[in-house]
Amino acid sequence: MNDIDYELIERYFSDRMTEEELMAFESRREADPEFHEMVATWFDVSNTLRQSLQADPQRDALVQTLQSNRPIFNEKAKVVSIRKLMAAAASVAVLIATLMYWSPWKKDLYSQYSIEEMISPAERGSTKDSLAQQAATQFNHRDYKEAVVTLDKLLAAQPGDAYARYYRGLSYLEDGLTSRARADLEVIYNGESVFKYDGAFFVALSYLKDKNTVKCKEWLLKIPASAENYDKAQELLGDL
Amino acid sequence: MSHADQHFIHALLHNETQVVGEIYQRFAPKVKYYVLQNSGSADDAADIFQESLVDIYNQAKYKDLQLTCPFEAFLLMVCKRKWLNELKKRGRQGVTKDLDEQFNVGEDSFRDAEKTWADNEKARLFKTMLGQMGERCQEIIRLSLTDKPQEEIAAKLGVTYGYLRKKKSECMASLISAIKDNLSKWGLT
Repeated sequence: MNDIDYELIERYFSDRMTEEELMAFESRREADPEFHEMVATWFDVSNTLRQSLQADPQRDALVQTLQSNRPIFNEKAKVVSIRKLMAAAASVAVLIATLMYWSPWKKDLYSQYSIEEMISPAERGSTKDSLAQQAATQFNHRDYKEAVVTLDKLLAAQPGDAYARYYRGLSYLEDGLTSRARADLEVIYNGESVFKYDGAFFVALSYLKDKNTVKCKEWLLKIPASAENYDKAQELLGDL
Repeated sequence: MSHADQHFIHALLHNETQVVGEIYQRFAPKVKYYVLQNSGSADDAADIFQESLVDIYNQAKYKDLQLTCPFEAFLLMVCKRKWLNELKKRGRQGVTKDLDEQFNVGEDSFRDAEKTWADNEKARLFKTMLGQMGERCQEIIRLSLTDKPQEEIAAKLGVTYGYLRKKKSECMASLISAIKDNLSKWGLT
């Protein structure tokens, strides 16, 4: 096998042969086992590589799922006798009963349900994104007044930016400016962004902060069962 | 008639997270036990398990794998084969302790599992060897494997079609020779 043979095989697979060349190629393949094997390997390598280099989003999604199950491998096998298990269950039950009666967590419902972290912007590079980045840092450091200033700039440039408006609403809320918070969050609720029902939830929380339980409930009921935070809303309704 | 356990394969193909979770709950402990018994760690077991499931996905999607035995038996066969080969690559002695239970697995199923492992291992070898080539060769081969016309690829690389063809055949020849040199090291003969 030499360079000329390799180029010949390349041309064969690129469909670049005349009728005569093709016939000569096939008869050589039949007569020469080494050549035959090289052609077969060439085909196998290109074919296999083509398949495995091809993007497969479904496979990527599966790998994500597999990764998320991986911790199972690091769990310690638990061997606990049934009697010990029963004893443990009984003492846990007593603890739960005590806590239910005492309910130390009922003291401040607002702080129980308050704010998550501000998500940093996904894309990078533009001034708009660096402002959003700055706002996220301020928000996550609980510098809500400064976050409001930064978010004001973002909203001045793009009044329709639901992301900026949602987090400005939350910043006002955390800062105790409940009516300003509601102004932003109601816009979010009336819009169609991904924050829509989170908007409703935090309007409800703003009323909770103002000790207006009726209004709070009213807003929680706006969250439909299909929303991501439905369970959270129902839980809070139950607590009220 | 497909095997009743084919639904596990369907779940892998369609990323049904609940069934995939069930696969981990039910079958991971055995694979973990097996790998731990044979000089591996929990992390090794997790790698082997995950890779085997991806291999089964590939085999089902691209080679129309149909189960002829219980999914558990099939998965264990692929995992064992993979671990055996991993030990060999690490220069350790082979598996000494097997799992107790014996599935009554027919020759067909055994051959399918072996092929699932081998086809995927082969693809990994090819990819690894490609990755070890010079950048220019990699670029040429990767581009050639797309469906783009050769002339377009030549233009993109800033060369003539004649040059591309010559270079591509050289690159393929050296890739194939690197692959052949490594087949037995990878347990593929």
